Amino acid sequence: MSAFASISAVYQGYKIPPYYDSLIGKLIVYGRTREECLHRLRRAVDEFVIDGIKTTLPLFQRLIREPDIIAGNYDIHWLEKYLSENKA
Amino acid sequence: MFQKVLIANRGEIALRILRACKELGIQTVAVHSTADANAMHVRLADESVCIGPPSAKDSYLNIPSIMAACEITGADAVHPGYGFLSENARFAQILTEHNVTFIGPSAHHIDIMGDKITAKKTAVELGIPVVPGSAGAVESDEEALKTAKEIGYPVLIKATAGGGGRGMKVALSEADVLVAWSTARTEAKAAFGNDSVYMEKYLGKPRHIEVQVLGDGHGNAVHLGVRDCSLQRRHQKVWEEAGGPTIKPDERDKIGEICAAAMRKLKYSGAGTVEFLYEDGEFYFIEMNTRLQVEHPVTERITGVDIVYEQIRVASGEKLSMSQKQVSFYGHAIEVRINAEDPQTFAPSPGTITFYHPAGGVGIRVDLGGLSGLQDPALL
Repeated sequence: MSAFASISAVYQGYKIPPYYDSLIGKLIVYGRTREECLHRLRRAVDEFVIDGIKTTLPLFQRLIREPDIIAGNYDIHWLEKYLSENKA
Repeated sequence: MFQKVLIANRGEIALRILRACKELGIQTVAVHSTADANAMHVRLADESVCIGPPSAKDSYLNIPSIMAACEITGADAVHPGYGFLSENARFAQILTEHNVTFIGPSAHHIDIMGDKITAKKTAVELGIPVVPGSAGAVESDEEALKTAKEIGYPVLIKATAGGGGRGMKVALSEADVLVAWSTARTEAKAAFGNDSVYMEKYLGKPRHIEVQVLGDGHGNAVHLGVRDCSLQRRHQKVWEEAGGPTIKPDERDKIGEICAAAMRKLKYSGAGTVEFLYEDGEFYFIEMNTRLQVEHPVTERITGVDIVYEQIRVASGEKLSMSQKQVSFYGHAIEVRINAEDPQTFAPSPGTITFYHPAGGVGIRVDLGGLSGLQDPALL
C-alpha cells in the first residue's frame, strides 16, 4: 500500500458537474525515504490516465522532474513563478 | 457510538467519511444535490436524501434542508467534511440544539478561529508563535505609518474578514504604506462588505508548514507532525508533503508540542490544523482550520492514525485512542491534487470522463478502481 488514489467521483462515463470545486481526486504516494517517494510518484503520475477532460496530472508530470522540487527547494511563491516562466 | 451518521458533503471526502463509518459499523446517510444523484458516495450509502438543486447554496449549504434530512432519517450525528458547512458555527449550534452531534469542535471554538484577529489573539494567549503585527484593525493613516515602522518593512496589509488573497497588499517602504492601506481597505469592502484591515510583517520567501492536531474535549490532545504545503497557486494547495522536505524531527516535535499544549488548554475537540509560515527557522501562525483538511491522508500514511476514526470517536464522547508517546512517524508521503482543470491556466474543465485508468502495479493501492464495473449506463 505504497500509493493510493483517493478518488470517489471518478469512474469511466462519469460526468463531472460544473457547479462545484474542481477537485476530483487525490493521489497519495508513500516511500520509506523522500527519494523513494519521489521515484514512486514519478512512476504513478506517468501511469495515471484520465481522458475526456483536462486535469492537473500533466502539471505533476512536469513538476516531478524539476530539480528544485526534487531537492525540496521551494517556497510559497515557487509554483506561480515557475508557471509564469515555463509555459507548457 | 453513533447509530447513523449523515455526511453533509460530496465528492472524494464524502466517500472517505462513508468508508470510515462502514468500518466502524455506523449506518450512513448521503445527502446530495440533483447534479450528484449518480455520485459514488450516494450509491454506496445506506440511505440517501436529495437536498436541493445543483447550486451549493440551495443544497450543500442549505441548513434547513440538511436538518430535514437528519429528521427524516433519524441520523444522530453529522460529519461536515471540509468546505461547505464545516466551519459554520451557526450550523454546529443548530445541530446541537436539535440533539444531533456535529462531528467537529464546539461552535465556540469554530467562532474563535474563524475571525482572524480573535484567532491571532488566542494564539498569542496559548503560546503559539505569531507574525509580528498590529494588535487589531488599523484604522487611520497615522496608525498605519506608526504600526508599519514598529513592525519594520516590508509589511503586509490584510482584510480582517479576508481570504484567497483579496484585500491583501504589500508595502515595501514608508512611501507605499498609505496607498497599500487604502487599496486594501477598498478591496476588502468590495469583497467582504467590511473594510477592516490589519498589518503584519511580510515574509519574502516563506514555506507553508502546518501542524495536524487532535483533541478529545477532555483536555487530551496530540499532534501528528507537520505537512509542507508550500506548492500553491493563488493560495490553493496543489502538492502536499508529510514530514516535508526541510523540517527536522526536533523542529517538528517542538512546534507540534506547542500546538498540542495549546489544544489541551483550549479543551479542543476533534481534528484541527494550525497553519504557519516558516522562514529562517521560525514559525509564524497564520490561522487554524477547525476541520478535516483535504491533505489529511499524507499524515495518516506516515503515522498510521485514521484521523476520521478519531474525529468520530471523540465526537461520540470517547477519549483519544492514543497518547503523544504512542504517535510515531515513519517514511515520507506526498499527495497531489487531481483537479478537473487545465494544467497550465487552471481553468475549470468539467465534462465526461471517457477513459479512466488509475496508477497501479507493485506497491500501489487504488481505492476505487474496481468500482467502475458498478456503473449503470442507463443512469449516465
